[in-house]
Amino acid sequence: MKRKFIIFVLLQVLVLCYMAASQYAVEWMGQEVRLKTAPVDPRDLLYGDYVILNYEISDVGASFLKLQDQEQPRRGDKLWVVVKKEGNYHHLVSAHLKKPSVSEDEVILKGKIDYVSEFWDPEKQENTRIQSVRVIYGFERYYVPEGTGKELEDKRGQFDVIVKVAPWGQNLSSLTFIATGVMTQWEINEHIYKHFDSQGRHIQILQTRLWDQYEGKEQPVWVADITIYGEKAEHKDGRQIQVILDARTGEILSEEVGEAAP
Amino acid sequence: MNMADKWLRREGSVWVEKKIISPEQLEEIIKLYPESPRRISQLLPILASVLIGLSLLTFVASNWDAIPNLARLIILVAFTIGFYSFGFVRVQKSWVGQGLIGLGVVSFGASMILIGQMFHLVAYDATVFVLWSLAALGTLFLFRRTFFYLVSSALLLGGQIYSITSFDHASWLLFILTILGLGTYSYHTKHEYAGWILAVSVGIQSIFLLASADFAWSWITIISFLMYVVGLGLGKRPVAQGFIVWPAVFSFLFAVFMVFFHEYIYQDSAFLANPVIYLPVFGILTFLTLWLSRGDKAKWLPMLLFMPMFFFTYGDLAYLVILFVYSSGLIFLGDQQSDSSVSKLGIFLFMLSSFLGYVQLAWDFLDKSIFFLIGGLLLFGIHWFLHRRSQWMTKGDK
Repeated sequence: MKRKFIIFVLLQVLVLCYMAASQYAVEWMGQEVRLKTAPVDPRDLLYGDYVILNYEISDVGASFLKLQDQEQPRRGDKLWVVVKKEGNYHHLVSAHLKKPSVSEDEVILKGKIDYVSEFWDPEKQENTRIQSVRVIYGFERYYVPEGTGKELEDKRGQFDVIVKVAPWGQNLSSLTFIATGVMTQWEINEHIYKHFDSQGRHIQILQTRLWDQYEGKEQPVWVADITIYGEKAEHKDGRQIQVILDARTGEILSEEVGEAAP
Repeated sequence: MNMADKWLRREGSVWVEKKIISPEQLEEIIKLYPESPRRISQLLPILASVLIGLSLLTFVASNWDAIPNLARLIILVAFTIGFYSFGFVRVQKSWVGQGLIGLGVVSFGASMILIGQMFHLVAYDATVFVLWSLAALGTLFLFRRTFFYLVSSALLLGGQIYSITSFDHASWLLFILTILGLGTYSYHTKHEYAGWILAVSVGIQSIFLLASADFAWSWITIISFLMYVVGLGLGKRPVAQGFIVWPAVFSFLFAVFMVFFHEYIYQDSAFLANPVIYLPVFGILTFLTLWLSRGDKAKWLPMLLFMPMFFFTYGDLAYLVILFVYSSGLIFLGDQQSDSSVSKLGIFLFMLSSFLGYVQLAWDFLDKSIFFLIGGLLLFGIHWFLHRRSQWMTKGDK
């Protein structure tokens, strides 16, 4: 009896250690993949004590799907997604329902199909062909200490995620979470107000948003639509301009007169 | 002195006054029930260790974010082993040991979840609950105590609910574990409770499985029929009782539901099962019922409730008739077996059915005050009839 019980407890300890050890193994031996996070609906971003991460590779368009004849992707199917490093980030190359062979500079991520979106044909009243496939990889969550989620929410869209992929293709991944040193929305607003204040101009910020490209180069910029009210706060002749700032330093790159972008 | 002692002394002195018993007899009776030995002072060490345990737990919890992963792993493993081994020492003697082993099971599951969080893992399915229930079932088969049966059933059903709410599909593995694990234990135990719990769990899980397989949901009637047949097949074993009674209860409620909603749903393809497959299955189950009940006509009665009246255009009326026939059947059965509780249940269900029928049929076209008036008169009538009947029954007994 005693022996049985000891084996019973040891089995459970083994399960716990296996869970942790397989993660450490990936961390030590895994290949690094740097992924760009795609924006998510901010209300859905924070779920209790974890942040939901959405990647560019989470939605696989139909053109990337390399299906062999008669293959139909279904919810719950395994999907092997090939990514390749271009520039700083790994980008989607192709997706397969069977494990493909890849060249040296490509990495395979293993995921599971969450759902398949199809084009709806209103005339025939049926789905015609696949539009895209939503994939879950298993690294869509980042657990944060309680109470710190709010800070991360402010920085949404401003961090990269580094995933380690084990060479044996096991669906285990570890995640390193780096904020890329971009100023938060709150900081950038403060910065804009200060800048115009020093020029003696009164402004109101209508909206700010973060873009990852500026003039065709990969550079994070904050874009702000503001209204300028002139020297002495004459409310009548406020005009709208668009300000573009370097998201890392806060340096103003351009000021353009024009309508606020929708 | 506990409540029962006080009651005995108080009532005892009344009995002495009324000369039912003598004062000496009262003393003898009181001596028969010595005060229970468990005193509050024996509970103190247990309370003390619970408090110390809690302090440790809250300390770890509040500093969790600052602890490195490897140390966290060691803490989790230590908690799990600790609870199990302290529990093992005392498990045969007291409920404290069982409680500690229960905490060991809880720590194992909590550890898996926390390790998952440490590495930011996302669960795709109910695997954690499968492993967790396996641990609970392990304790059940090692120690064979009711407490572990409850823990196992809670984890299996909880896991299934988690699976269907988080992933939109029920887990076959958990279902199979329920049948094999809880089923084997229930089959061999002499306690009836196991069957009651098992039948509820199997019933709910089957409905989940049916829902995630996109079956037309009138198939749930087959689930209750199938479970009833299983109950009959289990014969005189204590586990059978739950499988016999729950399907009847469920099907009765289903019939009540259908009385009201049949006309709205019976043409819906999400509801209506394909009769070409349904009816043969129903036929086989009917045959099995007739065969397994071995001529005991009382066991045929619930078959009324399993009849698939939803296929018919006037299904609501058919279900109402079935409710009446079924409850009359119960009254008749109670008479025959001189089991007054069955008769009383039948009478209650009969009144309920007439009330339901009345509400369903008369609400639409009667003036409201006439509706209530006739309703009251109807209930008086039934009461009078049943009263006469019970008088006649008691006379008949004499």
